[in-house]
Amino acid sequence: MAGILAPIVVYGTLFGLTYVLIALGFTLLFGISRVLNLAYGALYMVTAYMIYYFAVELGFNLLLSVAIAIAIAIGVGVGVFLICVRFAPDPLRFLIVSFMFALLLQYLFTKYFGGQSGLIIPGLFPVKEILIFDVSVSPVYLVTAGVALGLLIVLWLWIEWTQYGRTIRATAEDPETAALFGIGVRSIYLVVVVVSSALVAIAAVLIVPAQELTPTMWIEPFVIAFVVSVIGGLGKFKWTLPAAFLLSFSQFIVQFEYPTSASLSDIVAFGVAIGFIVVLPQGIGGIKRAH
Amino acid sequence: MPTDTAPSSDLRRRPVGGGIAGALRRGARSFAGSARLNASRLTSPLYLGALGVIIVFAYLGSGNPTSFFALSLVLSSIYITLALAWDFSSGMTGYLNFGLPFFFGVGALVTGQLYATDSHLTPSSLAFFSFGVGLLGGFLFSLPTLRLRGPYFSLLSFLLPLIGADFILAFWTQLGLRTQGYYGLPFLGATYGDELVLLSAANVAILTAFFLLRESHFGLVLRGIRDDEDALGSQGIRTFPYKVVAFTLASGVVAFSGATYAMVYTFAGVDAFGFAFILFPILIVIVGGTGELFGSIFAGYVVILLYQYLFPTFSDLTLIIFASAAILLVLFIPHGLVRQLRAFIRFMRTGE
Amino acid sequence: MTAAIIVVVVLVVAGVGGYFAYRQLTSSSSSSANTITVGMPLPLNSIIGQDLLNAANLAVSQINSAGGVNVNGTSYQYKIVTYDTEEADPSIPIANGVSGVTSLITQSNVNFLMGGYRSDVVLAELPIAAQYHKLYITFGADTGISTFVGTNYATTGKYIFNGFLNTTNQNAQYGALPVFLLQAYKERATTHFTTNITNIAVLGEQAAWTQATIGTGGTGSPLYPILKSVGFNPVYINYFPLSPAGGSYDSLLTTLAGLGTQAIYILAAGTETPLLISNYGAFNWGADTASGGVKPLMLGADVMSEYNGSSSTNNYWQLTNHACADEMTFGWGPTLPFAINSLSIPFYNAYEKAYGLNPGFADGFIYSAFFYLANAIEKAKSLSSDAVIPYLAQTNYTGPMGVVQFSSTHGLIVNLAPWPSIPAFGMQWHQDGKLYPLWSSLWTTPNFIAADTFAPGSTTSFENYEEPNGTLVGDFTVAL
Repeated sequence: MAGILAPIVVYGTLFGLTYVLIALGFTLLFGISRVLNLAYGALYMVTAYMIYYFAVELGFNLLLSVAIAIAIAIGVGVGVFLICVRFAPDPLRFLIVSFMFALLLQYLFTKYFGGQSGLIIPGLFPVKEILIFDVSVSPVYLVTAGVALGLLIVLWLWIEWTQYGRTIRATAEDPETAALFGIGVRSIYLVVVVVSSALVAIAAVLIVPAQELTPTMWIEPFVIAFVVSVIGGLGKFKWTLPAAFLLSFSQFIVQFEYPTSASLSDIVAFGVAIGFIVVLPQGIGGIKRAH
Repeated sequence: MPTDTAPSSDLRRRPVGGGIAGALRRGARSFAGSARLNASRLTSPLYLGALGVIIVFAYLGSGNPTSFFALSLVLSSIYITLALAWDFSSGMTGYLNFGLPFFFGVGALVTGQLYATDSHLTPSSLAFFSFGVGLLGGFLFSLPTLRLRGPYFSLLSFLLPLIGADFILAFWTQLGLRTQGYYGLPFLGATYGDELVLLSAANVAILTAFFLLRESHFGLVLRGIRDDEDALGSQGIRTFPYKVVAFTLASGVVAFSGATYAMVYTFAGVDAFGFAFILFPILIVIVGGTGELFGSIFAGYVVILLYQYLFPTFSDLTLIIFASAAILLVLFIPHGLVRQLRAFIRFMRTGE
Repeated sequence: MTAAIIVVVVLVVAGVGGYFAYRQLTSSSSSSANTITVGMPLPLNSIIGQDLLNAANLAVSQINSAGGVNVNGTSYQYKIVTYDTEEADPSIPIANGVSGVTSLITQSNVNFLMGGYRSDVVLAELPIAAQYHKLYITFGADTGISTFVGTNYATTGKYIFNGFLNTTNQNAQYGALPVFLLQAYKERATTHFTTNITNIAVLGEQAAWTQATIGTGGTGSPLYPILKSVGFNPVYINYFPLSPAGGSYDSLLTTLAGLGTQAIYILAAGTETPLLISNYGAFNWGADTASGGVKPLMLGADVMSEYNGSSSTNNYWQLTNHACADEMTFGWGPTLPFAINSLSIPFYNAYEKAYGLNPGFADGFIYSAFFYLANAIEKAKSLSSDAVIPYLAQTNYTGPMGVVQFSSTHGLIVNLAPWPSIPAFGMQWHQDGKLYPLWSSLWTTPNFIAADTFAPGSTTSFENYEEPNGTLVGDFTVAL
């Protein structure tokens, strides 16, 4: 059908970059620590609800609310990290704790925001959409795309090319040896946690205004982040973009080729992702490393 | 490394089926060969204690078979079944399986559809057929995913209920399922009390089977997987078939439980895919202790009864309290309350 | 050692907490003399359940202050006991609802039950209530409720009454109403569209209650022939997902724009609706050539759009960031001061005065239930469900939303000719941020006809109609 090429390319690209932004913090965090952390999605949710609370319910200035929300998200991320390092240092318990924590936040937000989903928060950028190649696009996604690309490049440069980035990678590969060489492993992890929390909070600040708040909104960012990180290869920012595009283009190709099947796009996209992970668990970036 | 670390040349040479059948054969052999050993295990105090608890509650519940107490015990029994299945597979191997709700929902829906096709089917036949479907489904899901390391398996299992529920919602009509779910299913028993007795009997059977498996060579390998899977691999033990068998059995039990759920509430629908059916089993295993099996029995009644009786007063605050308590427990009492209690009792008695 | 102390503390706390909770429950079960206890299992953690409870409390306070209910010579007061089933969330298991009904019956010792909302929860609750021989007036919409009543009526079915319109009744009105609204638009809106509105898209939320209307979508929908028969061209009939691809409905709207959609008819009750409307409001319809690059009309059954309260969570105008401007919706009620009969406006005023927002679409029904139940109790001279049931089945009661009569399977009878006994009516959000009625306040036109007996030549009248450019059209009549 003529006329679906433009929407597929435009939405596939823009939403793919949205996924990149969501996945950046997780690629960093999971790539370094190899510990599964379901609280990552919870931080996304916390940021969004805090913006709602401060900007809509209390009526604070929007920029101030955003700043407070990001600070709270980083605080929560660091708090969870420190508590678990002290009391639950093995991956299994950390996984369970982070899952329970995400659920706890879900129940708390359900209770204190009146069980309402569908809440909308104001954005830093206008939401009124413009036409690109005859496809209606929200400026929010354009900004998000630009920020995603920028942050991707910055992160990649940081990890691959700077001294500190090399230190981080060394710690990730072999924490014990790194400690032997006098690298403060704990402080490295702390820096990684702060940066990844900030990244997911920024993602929420940019993306959620064009979407909605629901108490279960921690699930999707976590799933997207995990899937994109794994397909791309852990800690390998080079392949984050293609991985995200694999997901987004599957979704929108199905969406426009089969518009009458409402939920099919998500099912197919995650089916593709699952297939990819099962066949190639080390991700695109890990191919060279496996002999 | 994300893939199973058995010597890769081995994996490529021997077909997978042989490996699983081999594990089953080994398991059956060790089972039969140690019949006396198994019998002596059944006299262990914790096992008898757990049996006692199940029997006592079944008796108490039957005393007032239509009461809220009886209903709460029925619900406890269902969640205990789930907890046992989760503990046996995830608790013992360390491969955290979040896909429980998928098989639970499948069990419920299969029951609904079968009954809609033939209303002469009895509750027990419906339950056993669901068990079979669960076994098949669990096996098919385990094959590709258990080759992956823990976190990756956890992610894929996390996706399963989400995608599964989506899939069914999107294709109700095409799949030939009744769109709004199945109502009018047969009651599992005439009263809550009768249902409690049936479910308690089922739990006794499941507990016994899992306990004996745990104490056998099979269980030893499973627990070894949790401790250090690489070490097992370097000893030449291929862990993959053991994992598959464990998860297949667990999925079958979960589907069976889903079928019983549908028949207690005479309704089967998409709500059976919800988070409650992974949250409460994990909660129960946290309180009881992972790998403890018996802990799940004690903890199951405590957690669910508490929930049922606190809920009318606290409503949505109840889950908030429970989730917070779970986090505190995992952080500060990681071995579970039951094991902690045992240690405490030992401490009081012997001072060590 | 510290861990052991924690263990002891936790156990003590649990024990104490459990004890107090149990005390609380057992004390409430001792019903004081001369009360009629009504147990209400409702989704109280959401506005839907809170709303229904508001209407119930209003009825109870009015009845009690007017002297209560006369049971065989003695005056009884109504008392409500609630149980939060959380059922507004589709992922909450039905077990909660059944636990609720069981708890209300066996621990709170209620005389009657009223409530229920989500179809699957209601269907699971029915056999339980019936088993305990408790009368249960439920407000679900599934036709399965009537089926349950009809099967084994004498032993269990008779205990259940459906106090709300089931999907069959609702569908009779779903088909006709958009036709009336669109025809009015066709006649009046010369400034908005340069051509007639013919292309219509139907979006039903992915839920159980829309299945009967959307069917398998496209030509497989019962709405398709109805819309075609009155001159519309249905370009898209399908479900829309509760959670869209990428988190935005833009891709769905792009498909609709590509099909030349001029009007969108939605069936939505869930909390994803504000997102759909917001996206619709922000969307750039420039690519929709058939509509002249103009935003399509938005109309339909949109439950969340019916609330105009003062807080940001119960005011659709704020929730959608004003994107609902000119959206037309319909429901039962009254949700606005419509005089369906002489009871409607006093009910509306009392509700609004008490709660600061307008009543929801099911409130008139639950409010009436307390009155006609009281009537049945008075006639039966008893609080026993078995005694009350025959009188309840013969109810002929006029409530603020219309006339209540029960069929042989205890569903509401909705006579559609010459005039619906329980009519639906329209509302529209105007650009001043307020919700206005869209039907004549006089209800004198007896020509509202069901979709399957649609007859050209009938007329209906509208009031306070606003065009998308903000022009207020006022009172006028449409000839069909």
